[in-house]
Amino acid sequence: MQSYIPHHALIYLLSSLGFILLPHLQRAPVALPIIWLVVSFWQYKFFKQQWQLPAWPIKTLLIVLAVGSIWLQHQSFLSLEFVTQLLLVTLLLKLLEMKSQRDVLILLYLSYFSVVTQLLFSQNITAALYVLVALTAITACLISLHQNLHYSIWSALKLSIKMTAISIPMLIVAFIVFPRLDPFWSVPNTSASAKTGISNSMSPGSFDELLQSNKVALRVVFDGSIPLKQQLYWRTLVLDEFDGKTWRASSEGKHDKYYSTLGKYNSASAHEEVGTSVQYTITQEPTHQVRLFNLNGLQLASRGTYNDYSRTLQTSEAVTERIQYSLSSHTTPALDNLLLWEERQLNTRLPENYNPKTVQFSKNLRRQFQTDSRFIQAILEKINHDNFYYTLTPPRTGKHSVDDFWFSTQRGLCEHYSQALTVILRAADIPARVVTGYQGGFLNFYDNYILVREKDAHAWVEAWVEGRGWQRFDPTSAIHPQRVEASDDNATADDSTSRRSAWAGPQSQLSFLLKAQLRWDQANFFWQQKMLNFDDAAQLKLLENLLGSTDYVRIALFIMLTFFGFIAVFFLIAYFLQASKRKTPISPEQKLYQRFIKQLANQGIEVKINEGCADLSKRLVSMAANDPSAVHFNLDAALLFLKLYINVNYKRRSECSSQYEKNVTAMRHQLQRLSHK
Amino acid sequence: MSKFLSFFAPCKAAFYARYTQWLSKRMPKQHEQILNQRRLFIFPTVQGFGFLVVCLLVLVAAVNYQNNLVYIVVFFMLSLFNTCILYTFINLSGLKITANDSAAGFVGEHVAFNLTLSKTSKRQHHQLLLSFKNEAKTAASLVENKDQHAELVASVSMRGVHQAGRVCVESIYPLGLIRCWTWVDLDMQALVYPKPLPCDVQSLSGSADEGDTHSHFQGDDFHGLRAYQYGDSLTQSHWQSLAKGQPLQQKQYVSFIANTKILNFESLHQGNTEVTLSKLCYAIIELTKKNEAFSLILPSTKISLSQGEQHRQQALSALALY
Repeated sequence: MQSYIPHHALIYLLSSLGFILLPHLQRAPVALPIIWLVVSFWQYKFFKQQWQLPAWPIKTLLIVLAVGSIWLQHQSFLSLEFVTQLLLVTLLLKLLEMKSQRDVLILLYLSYFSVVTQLLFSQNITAALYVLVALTAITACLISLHQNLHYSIWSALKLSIKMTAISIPMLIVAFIVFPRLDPFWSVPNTSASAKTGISNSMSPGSFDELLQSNKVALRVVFDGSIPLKQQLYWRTLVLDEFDGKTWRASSEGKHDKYYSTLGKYNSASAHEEVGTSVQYTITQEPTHQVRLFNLNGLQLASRGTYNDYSRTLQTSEAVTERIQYSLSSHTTPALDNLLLWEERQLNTRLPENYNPKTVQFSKNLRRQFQTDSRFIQAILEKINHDNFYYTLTPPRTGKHSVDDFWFSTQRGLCEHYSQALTVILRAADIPARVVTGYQGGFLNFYDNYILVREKDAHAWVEAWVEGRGWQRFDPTSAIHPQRVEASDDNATADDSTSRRSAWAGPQSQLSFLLKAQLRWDQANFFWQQKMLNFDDAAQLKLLENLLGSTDYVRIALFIMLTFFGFIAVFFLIAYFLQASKRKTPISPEQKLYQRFIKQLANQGIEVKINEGCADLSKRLVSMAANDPSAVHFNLDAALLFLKLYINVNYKRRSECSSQYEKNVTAMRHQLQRLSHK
Repeated sequence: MSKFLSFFAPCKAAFYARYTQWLSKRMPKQHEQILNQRRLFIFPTVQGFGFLVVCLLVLVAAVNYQNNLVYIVVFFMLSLFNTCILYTFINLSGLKITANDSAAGFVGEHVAFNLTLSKTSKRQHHQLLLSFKNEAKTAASLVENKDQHAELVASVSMRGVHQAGRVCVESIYPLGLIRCWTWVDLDMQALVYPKPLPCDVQSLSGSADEGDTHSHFQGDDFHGLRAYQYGDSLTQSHWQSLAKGQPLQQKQYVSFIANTKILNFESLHQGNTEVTLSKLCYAIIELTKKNEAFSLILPSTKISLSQGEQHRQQALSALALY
């Protein structure tokens, strides 16, 4: 029996749907791939005419199951995940109603649209290549829909790949010239993705996960030379409120009065200040938080608002996609003399009845030193000399976490050290606060940018030094290098030790794997620089470089030329590919006729090109009648030859092939007789 | 509504006349036609417009999410559409269509026209559909380097010479988004015989006299040789004598007929010409089936006594052209 679509088309369709579904699996409930399997199997059985399509109770059950499981996963009807997965479910369940070619077409068009949804979540190179492959698969399905069973299953895929390859030049031109429009309406950024990166507070264990993660956090390109590694403290958050367990950013710090707009960064003004400032561009991966990153001494920023109190940057909306901003910072920040009373209060406040031993210790120690800085120096030296260890697996501490750490365990991460130092300083009435962010990074020497990963997360201390302002102290870096415990994983072990080391260069001994990682990250960085950040400004710049200027006439000409050039090249290739077979061979009777004309010419009888055979035979007959002595050839043979030729040439070839062969043989015979009179 | 439409009917008719006129100027009648850019038309199909709507939806997503990769998907789809135009065009271009022998059939039946499809280059031609206007479509594909025959049917309703009219050659291969087509006039004709009307054959015809028998040099039995004359059929030439160096001889055949009939139009005519012709048509078919000889006398023509397939066709043609 005739099936409603070719078998190959169904195979392509079911596998393309799997292709579309695959990248969503990490966010989708387990039910989705199961539904895909069930529905594909059912449709295949229906196609084989062994089963019927399911009745409405089963369909309803599947719908409830699918939508319910998605809702359970995301708990929200408006999140991007919910909406896209709802679309996918629609796509899958449509298979249970597919019974005509029109249904298949609708499904395919929906597929073209659904491929796009994964790009809303991920836009790296792999995602882009994946989408290209998925599009090729869907196109192959569209092709196989118009093929019958005589075609092999691969022919559709081959043609699809060919068509995709041919389409790419036009794609590039369109991408370059198509104007980038402003959004028609604002799309709510309601992605339910969890916040990633450094969290808003600091409590025991809050760094554990980060320090194990190899995920990219920032990529930083410096204009000019790259500062030393130990100077690169990427600030993101200031924590000044401590309740005995957790450090938080106080509401005082969020007061409006602290927000000021910095000078807007533009490359021209930034370059004027040479020597004292450093210019850099940060590309930040999505964190789903509002905070940005900056070095100390920020002067200019192309994005975000600046908080004078915490000296950090933040945006008005959560960073849900990769963003890029340019900054300029002073290498030697200006002195600061003004600390407001509220600020001093805030930064010396300690929760009562917590860590009594540490408070006592601090008060006693402070009396031994004349200045605050000497006191701080002494504590850092104590960390260096005493038996303090850096470890990724710190022992648990009790209610008096700092007491336990400082006097008994003496093992911990940056969070323990910075917390302890802050508590000690506050107990001695020195304003102090915890700052979190990233420290250092890894120099990708292939492309000269700093790659900052989540494992570079760090916490350090800022203390108010009279006459100089907020000064950075990093107690973790005071630990003696010998007391830094290497973990099982070497990649994370360099976390603390490498803080003080210089940048690794291309000559340094790096494993092949690490070099390959750097290359891959370089490719990814290039991709997002050139591809994902291609906005109207970049477009204008590229067009200007390409065309000299960007008036409409030139752009229109550019489009026209590439378009017609594309078509010309297409047909040229098509022409050359077949040129070898273009000449149709001359048929045997025509060959014989040419020989006949040549022989007549030897006899002095010219045959005009436009002279028909019938005319020629008439001419020959009248010639022979007028002057028989002038005819030096066999007239009978010539006349018979012409008659045969007319017969062969003007009767339809399809008539009878044996008759045709016979006639051609006879023609050959007459031609031989021609010269024998 | 119908009133409204009827108002436009003359406009439509006028437009159609103009169109056919333009078409016949652009693509004149020819037995053999090679499809090229002069002859081919190209336009998106309904599915093609659907595809463009999907492109638009993706574009809206790209603009609203300001996502460059989604933009790329849009541009990919659009340039795929563009590539599809070229592919669909090149699928038909270079196809050679030749009309074969003219067909014949009876009124009220389908007449089958034979076409030969051949390549003019290495290029393959996939999934072609051929049809006359408002007739069933015939599918064909030219993948191998071999000519293909296609049979096109047309229903005929009038006796006489039927002009086949233009043949639509179309294809939506490979994506179904674009339709490329042409209307070629291959100058095909069909002879349409009257519709056979069953009747009593014996009563229609009278017996012929015996003397006629030998006068017809037609039939299956060999009679002798005679000298070749200008205009003789080559199928009956005696090539062996030519090979011996003698002048060409023609073979002669005769048939010896036992029972003969005369079908006379005048004696049957009862007012309705078509009915009479239909009856004669039936008689001719029946007599040939029984292998009986007959002669046919029409007011305009006379077909002398004979039998066999060739005779039958001659007689039927006479009826068709009456």
